[in-house]
Parts: sequence; structure tokens; C-alpha cells
Amino acid sequence: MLRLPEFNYVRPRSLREATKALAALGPEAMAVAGGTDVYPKMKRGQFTPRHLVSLRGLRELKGIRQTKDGLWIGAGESLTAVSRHRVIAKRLPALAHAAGSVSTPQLRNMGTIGGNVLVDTRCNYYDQTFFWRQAVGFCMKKDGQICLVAPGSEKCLAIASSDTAPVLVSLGAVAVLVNKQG
Amino acid sequence: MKQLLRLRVNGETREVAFETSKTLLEVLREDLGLNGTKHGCELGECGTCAVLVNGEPVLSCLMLGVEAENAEIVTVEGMTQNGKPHRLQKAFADLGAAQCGYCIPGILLTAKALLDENPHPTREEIRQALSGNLCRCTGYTKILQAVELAAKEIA
Amino acid sequence: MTRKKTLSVIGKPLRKVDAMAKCAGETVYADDLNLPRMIYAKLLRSPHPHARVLGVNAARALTLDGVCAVITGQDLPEKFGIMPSTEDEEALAVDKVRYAGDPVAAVAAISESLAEQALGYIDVEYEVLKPILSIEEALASTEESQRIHTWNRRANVQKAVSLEFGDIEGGFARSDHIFEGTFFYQGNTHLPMEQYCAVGFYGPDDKLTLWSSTQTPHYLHRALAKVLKLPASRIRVIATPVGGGFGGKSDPFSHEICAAKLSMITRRPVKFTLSREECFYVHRGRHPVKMWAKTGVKSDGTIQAMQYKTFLDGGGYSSYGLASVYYTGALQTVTYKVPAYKFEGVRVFTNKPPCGPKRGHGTPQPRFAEEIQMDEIAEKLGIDPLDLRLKQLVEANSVTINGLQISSCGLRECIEKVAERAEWKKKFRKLPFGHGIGFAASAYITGAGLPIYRNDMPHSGVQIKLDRSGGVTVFCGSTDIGQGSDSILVYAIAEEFGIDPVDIRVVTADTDLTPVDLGSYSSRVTIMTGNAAIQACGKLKLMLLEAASEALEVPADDLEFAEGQVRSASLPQRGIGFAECVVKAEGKHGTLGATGSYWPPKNPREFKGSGVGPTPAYTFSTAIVELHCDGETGEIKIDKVWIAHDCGRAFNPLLVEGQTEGSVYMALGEALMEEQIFRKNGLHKIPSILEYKSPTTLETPEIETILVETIDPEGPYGAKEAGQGPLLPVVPAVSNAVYDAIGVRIHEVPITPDKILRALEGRLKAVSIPKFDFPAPLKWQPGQGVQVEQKS
Repeated sequence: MLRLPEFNYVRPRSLREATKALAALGPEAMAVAGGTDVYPKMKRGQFTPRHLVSLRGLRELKGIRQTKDGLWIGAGESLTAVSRHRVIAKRLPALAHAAGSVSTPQLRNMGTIGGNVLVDTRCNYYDQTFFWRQAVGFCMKKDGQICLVAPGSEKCLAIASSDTAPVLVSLGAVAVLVNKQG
Repeated sequence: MKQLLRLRVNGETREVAFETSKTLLEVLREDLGLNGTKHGCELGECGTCAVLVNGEPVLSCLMLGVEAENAEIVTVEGMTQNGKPHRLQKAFADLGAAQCGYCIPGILLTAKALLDENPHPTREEIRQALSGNLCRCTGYTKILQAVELAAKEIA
Repeated sequence: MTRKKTLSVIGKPLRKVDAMAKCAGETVYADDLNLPRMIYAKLLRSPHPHARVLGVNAARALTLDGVCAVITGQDLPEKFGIMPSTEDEEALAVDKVRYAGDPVAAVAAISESLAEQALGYIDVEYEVLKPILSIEEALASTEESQRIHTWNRRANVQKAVSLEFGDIEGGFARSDHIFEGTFFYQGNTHLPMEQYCAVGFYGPDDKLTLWSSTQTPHYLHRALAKVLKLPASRIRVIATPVGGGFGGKSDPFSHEICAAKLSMITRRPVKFTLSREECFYVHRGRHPVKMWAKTGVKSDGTIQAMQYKTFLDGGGYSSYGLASVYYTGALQTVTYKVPAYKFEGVRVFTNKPPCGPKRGHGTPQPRFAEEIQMDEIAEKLGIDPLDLRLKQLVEANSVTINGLQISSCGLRECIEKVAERAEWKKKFRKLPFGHGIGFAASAYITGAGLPIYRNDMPHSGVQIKLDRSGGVTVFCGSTDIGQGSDSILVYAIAEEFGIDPVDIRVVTADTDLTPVDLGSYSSRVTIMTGNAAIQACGKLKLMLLEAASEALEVPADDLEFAEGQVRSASLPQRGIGFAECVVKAEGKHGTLGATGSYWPPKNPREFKGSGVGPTPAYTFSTAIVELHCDGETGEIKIDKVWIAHDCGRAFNPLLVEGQTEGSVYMALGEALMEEQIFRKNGLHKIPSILEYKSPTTLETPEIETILVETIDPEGPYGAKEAGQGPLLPVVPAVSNAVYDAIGVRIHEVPITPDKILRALEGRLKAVSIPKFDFPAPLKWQPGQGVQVEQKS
């Protein structure tokens, strides 16, 4: 069975605690919500965080609400919730469609819209096990120097793999970012 | 480091100590003796390890055991209640929907979640609901028929 | 005793005996085994497709706390392989690795994570060699220095064969039209949902037990004895319920041998569970095959001569390859009358995971070529493709030009029924652009006529024990891989004894407890175990009848076994319960048990390679595929598949339908998306379920199954196979339907959108065929063989 490496799991009780923990733990920490992108990548050795800060269960990231100038979607809402939400389905069908087209039903139940927007890039040279990447020669995205898709390229050719981000951008959505200051 | 946690599995509260890095799949199989949950890739690609968490099908290979604390977990073992198999289990057995049977626990639970929410789904709705569960034996035909048969028994 | 006219169990849609356990999650698969003191093992695999192993140093790994043992090629130098004449595998590479993923060392540790971690502490020194990655490269690499193996005669050619039957030159000379074409069938893998898993335990009694998810416990038993140098009598192999096989779990494997060896060293149970990625490296799947096919016909379409050349990309080891290459030429003659036939085939070694038997073993590839070529002949001659076939079908009780004996044959009925249900005449060449329908037919074996290793013993043995309680226990070496072979035994015995299937216990696939059955491959299990079980029942029935006759004062020839009783057929109220009858018979004869055996009919041919092709009975299948093909995107959507299959008798129609539907599904995966492909450096391109695309519920169409029953004289209650044959016609039927839809021929699978678009733009090149000098053909005429009578 493919297993996760060991890590320290931090369960903050509020968004403020979460941002503080991420700031305190520094680059060796990663945030995890649904886990559908983070855990496979940890199992394959693409992500090697020492600390995981869980965003699960943070109430501040939940909810889909109508506001004066539009719709507020909590980053912690599942893709299933976004794809099935009545108002989204009615007013932003492209978003409902995009969220409902991600992967499989079970993964949509687990994965969040925030996670999908921030999903790591995908590439056939990168989304492989440690054994495979070592055998083929590591790429610049992780542990290596060159892009295996375009060996002459100075940067990784994978730009973005999110299914919902293009729709959100085209809808003029605004992302609310928080750090430890708020 | 192991943590001692309380998990609600199949209507029972179980105290269990396990490494934080263990997935729910590993905890179920290795720490709770619930071997009915199978695995086919451990990367979220096949649907074999699906269980219900708070009524929703999720992949136990991509969820930590600790993340299942305070949730109601149902595995295939929990589908049989008071010694009586769930109507889906009977329908699957009656129609030969389980060949090698390896993908069946995940499919049964995913189908249960569907019927709990939508007691009379169309064939297309069943296809959509089960689209994340791979089966290499059946060609899905008898599986779809079995879900329909079980749905017929719901008044 | 009178033979019952109606059947009470056979032919009924009963639950499988293990159905509820599987639906309750209680079936114990190999990875569900947890033994006291068990430790966990992992294989270190080569990152290079072709390299000399100069040294393996495990010293650093052994210093890790919790690492119990490390073994390397030096610990297991004995070669093995499924075919006795081509044993070229090592459990761990001794001096060379032959594909990326080839195992070089194995570690056992107190946890799976630690074993995995320890792999990083094993130092291997490789001398990297140039890999050979294609059929063409293999055939061109004739220098001794370029060899992948050293045992084979010609560098990188595992086996080259050439067979000629009848007057091939005359046949083509008599033809009005000659059709030639080249084809490519891409390799693909089994992808069973259960990953490979084995647990070995060498106990304090110096006996070894190996539990494994294997289709062939008997052959594994032999391989273990050979490689471990243990007496076979001290080895017990238990095949756990197999979570999907499809041929992929039919070889003896490194992880099985290493689990045993590591347990011999540590004296603890050792478990291997391979990752999904490793399953792609273990492989043994469908061979990529390039083909050249030539058919000569009269202007009315009747075949005068047929010739095939096949080129198989075998991968790094032989596996079943010797049989595979013959299978690419064996069954072309078993659907239409072919008066002259020539076949040349070659299997080469390449530095890729070894290919082996996958559902249909070597026959889907040439069948793809044959059925497309038939469609092209019909098109050119202006004959409906069904009519072209109907005028020259093989017949029941006939012998093909290559000496294969056909007993029952329901091919005509299969064609007629599938055409009727699919409304062929209304649709063919009448649907609008982008919407098409295609047909194909095929034949398959019901069990290989010969065992893997030469011997005179039965292919299947069954032992039955009767209990005073009226319970019956059946022991058989057969392996249930989901197809329902345990249930088949129960149904046969329940029918024979007239008892409820619930009163029968099954013990299978345990070399200590069960008589040998050769395994779940070549669609052999129902016909062979079924016949052996009926024979064993027959012996017991004689004793039971004697006792019942005395007790009831009814002559034995008026007694029947029915409804849980042994009773008078003429006066059914006069009877005794089955349990009571057992008690009386045991009092009379002593402990009640009997064995039954099955041997296939003798091979009707006697030339080198003649072992591939003969079978107790051939099955026949036809498929019609209706699809939409988008001319803009090249996407194919299958609307529906109609499949008719001559299964002899539907032992349990639910199971036969299930096998048929599963075959259709797997065929569609091969036709449209599945491919085992490699990077230029020899590494598997997509060793994950995410990237190796296979059909989900959304891509699998409605499948309508039509079962045709021909009651074969050799089959138990007339039954023939159902697990493999129905795959065969579906793949070419897809290609033929694509032609009907958009007017382009695709001679390759998978038929991906890019191939469709290239074909529409006239840019899809014909498949290139390598140059190769085949050996001089072995010529054989029907009538030269052994006379074999069909049982009746």
C-alpha cells in the first residue's frame, strides 16, 4: 500500500490560528483542506512538508452567501456543494458546471473550491512516483534542473491545472486573501 | 507518534491509537480490523476504497484517520444491520453484480449514498454517481441493474 | 437410474456461492491476511530498461533498526518461467535487468514503510546498456553484443514459427480477388482492481505455505519447488480469492518467490502487496502485434486461401510467449471455411515489461485483422458483410484445414440473432454521416487441449466427500477469480445429487487439500472441473443407489436424485431423504468419498507447435456495435453493443451474461483507449490508473447479450466457455462501425480521436511491417493427424 510519510498535523480552530501557524512554521508547512491534491503528492514524494496545517472545519471558510454585489463562496466549500448550490446553478451555471466536472463524485465531495483554485500544476513528468521521477531524471519542478517537456525552457511549462479558476476569472471573481495580520 | 482517538464507525464508538500520518483506509483495515474496505491505488484514482463519512462517499485513501474524528463513518460491514443485509447487498448478490467482488464494497457504499438521497434514480443518475468507481469484471451492466433493483424495493 | 429430463439447478439464475460474502465485505483476499509476527516486504526495481548488474550491496539497509532481511539475485539464482522450454526469469536479477521495473533485491522489515525506506539503502551498481524498445529494433539487433537473452538461437528472437496447411499457392492462384492489409494491435494491461499480493510463511515444521492472488496455484507450486530447491511435498500453495485476473495472475512471480524466501530466512510470515505502479511493471498483458493479412476470394466472396504474418513485441521475458505466438495464428480458420492457410509468426524480446496472456490470449489481434479484412472484402464485392460470412461458415462436427476439430457450432444462429436484435438490415450503410454500425464474428477455445508441462495426468481433479449429515464437500484445485468457478462445482454436484446447492461446501485452490486443477486460464475451468465433478458424483451415486434400492425396494434403474431425495421415478412418493441415503450407503460401503478426473480429447495433430489450438470445444461469438463518431473532434461514443455468444449451455445464465458483458467492456477499453506505452528511454509512460485510461460507467454503453445454446457433447451438461470468446468480435466491430460512420478504415487499436482525425485528413499511414526471414514452413495436411472421436 502506498503510504504517507510522517508529518506533524496541526489543527487550528480558527482562520487566525491557521494563518499564524502557517507563518510560524514557515516554508516547511503546507495547508491542507480536502487533501485530494496534497496527499497523493505527498505519497509520491512531490510534496515533502514537515507540517500540515489543516483548514478542515474552519467555519470562516464555509458557506455560500448572497452579498450586495454578488456571491461569497467559502474556500472550504466542497466542489460538490458548489456544483449543486441553487443560486450558483441558476446564476453562474458555468461555475457549477466547472466544479461538477472535476474528477469523480467522491473526489468532489472531498476537494474544496479553494483547493481547486490553488491546485498544483499537473504534468506527466511530474505527477509520478519518486521511483519513476528518479528513473526518468528529475525535472525542475521538483529536485531537478530542466523541464523534461521542453528541455531548453528556462521555466516549467505547466502553467495551471485548475478547473474552476478559468471560470472564476472570466466571471470577474475576486479572491480574498488572508495572512496572519488578517 | 500515535494519537488516541475516538472514531464513530458503523454506529459504534471505537477508541483507537494510530499514527497521525495514517489514512482512514489504513486505520480501518489495520487498526480496526475492518478489512471489507479495499484499495486499488491509494491515490484517489479507482474508487475502490470509498466509504461513507457523514453519509457522503469519500475516498478513505485520501483522508487521514484523524480527519474522521467526530464523523459518522460507514463501511461495507456497517451496511448489514442486525444481521440483515442491505437491499443493495441482496440485489447485487441476486443479479451477479459482484464477480471478483473487489470493487464492490466501494460501489455498494456509493450506491447507498445515492439511494439515501435519491431513492429512485434514473440509469443516467446511477452512472454519474458510480462514475468514480472502476470495475474491471462486470462491464457495469449488472451493477447498474442491481442498483435499479434495490431502488424498486423502496416504497 | 433414470436421467432426469428437467434440470433443477443448471440453467437457473442462482446466486453465486460466495455472492453474499463478497457483498458483505467478508471475502478474505490476500491482502486481508494478517498473521502473528508478520513482516512486510518490498522489491527494489531497476530504473534502467537494460543494464548489467555489477553488484548489489545491502549492508547499509541491514543496519536499519527493524529491517529483518535483504535478498538479492545471488540468493535465488535458479531460473524459472511458466513454459518449461523457455525458463528465462529470475526472481531477482542475477547479472542483468531487462526492463525498467525488473526486480533486483527484496527487503523485509517490521513495517511496510520501513521496507520501502530500506530500498533506498541498497546500493546497486549498473552498467547501463542500450535498450531495445521496438519490434523493428529487436529484429535489427542481430549482433551477439545486442542480445537481451543469451539462451535463444537468434539474437532477440524468442520464437519464430511457420506453418502451412493445404495448397496455399493454388488457393491464391484460383482467387479472383486478393486482399492484403497491415494492422497493429497495441498492447494493454489487465488492470485488475486488486493489486498483486502474496504472503509466505515457512513454519517451524519446515513446511512452506504461500498464499497468493494467483490464477495458477499448481504451476506456482512447481516454480516454488524449483527455485527454492525445496521438495514440492513440503510446499503448500493457497490461492486466495482473486480480485480480478484476466490472465495477469497466471505466471509465477518474483514477489511470490521472494515472500517464500524471505520467510525461510526470517521464519516469520512475510507479506508483499505491490503498488499500482508496480502492477504496470509486472504486466504480462496483451502483446503489441503487427500483422500482415492476405485473403484470396472468388468473386462471390468465398475464401480460397488465407495467409498471416504476425510480429509480437514480447517484452523482457518469455512468459507464455511460446504459446502466444502460436495463438496469433491458430484460430483464424475456426469461423469461415478456409481451404488453404499459411501462418508465420515471430515473438521478439524488447526491454519492456513482459507480455503474456490477457483475455483471449494472442487471438484478439489476428481476429481484429481478419474481421476488418472480411468487412473490406464485402465492401469491395458489394456483398452484405453478414451474407459474406453466412455463405462459408464452419460447420458442427467438421475439421478445419489446420486440423482443429469443431464439435458444436452455433455461429449461424449467433449471426442471425444479433442481426435481428440490432436491426442490421435497416441500419447498415443507411445511417447518416457520423453514425455507424459494424459487425464481426469470432471463435475461441474452451480450455487448452494440452497442459503447460508435458504429462499424462488429468487436467482437472475433483474429490467429493459425503457426510452423514447429508452435507457434501467438494475439493478441487480450481481457482475462483470472480468468474464463479466455485459455484460451477456446486451447481454440477447439486444437479447430480438433486440437492440444494446450499448443502454443499467448496474447498478449492489449496495444493495440500485439493486435487490438482491446472488453473483459471484458457477458459478451461467449467468444462474440465464440471466434467470431473460429474464423474466423481457418478461413482458415489452407484453406492447411494445400491443403498436406496435396498431400503426402498425399488430397482436402481427406477431411482432418481431429485428434490433432496433419492426416489422412484415412476412412483415419486417412494423415496428417502438424501441424508438418510448417505447414512445407509455409509453403513454399507464405509466412508463415502470419490474422485473424478478430466482429460481433454487427444490432440488431433502431431507436429511441432500443434498443442496450441486444439480444445474440447470451440465457442462462437458475434457482435454488432453501433456508435457515433464526431468528424470534428474524432471522438467516438458507443451507443450500444449487441453480443451473441454460443456458450453450449448457460450453466448459470447470470454468470454467462456477466462474463459476456465483462468481455464486451474490456474489448471496448482495448478498442478505444487502453494502451501500455513507453517513453523513449524505456520507462512506462503512464503507470497509474489516472493516466492509463479505462472505461468508467460513463463510457460503457448498454450491452445486450444473446446466449445461444448448442449443448456441446464434450461439455458438462453441454456447457462451453464464456469468459474470453465474447471479447474477440467487439474490437473489429468497432473499427467496422467507424468505417460505416465516417468512411475511413482504422487498422490500429486503440482507435483514438487523433487517429480518426488523421484518417479523415488522409494522414493516417498504413501500419509498417518489419522485414524478417521466417523459417521454412512446416507443411501439414488434414488427415495426417490422429483420428479422434468426439464423445457423444
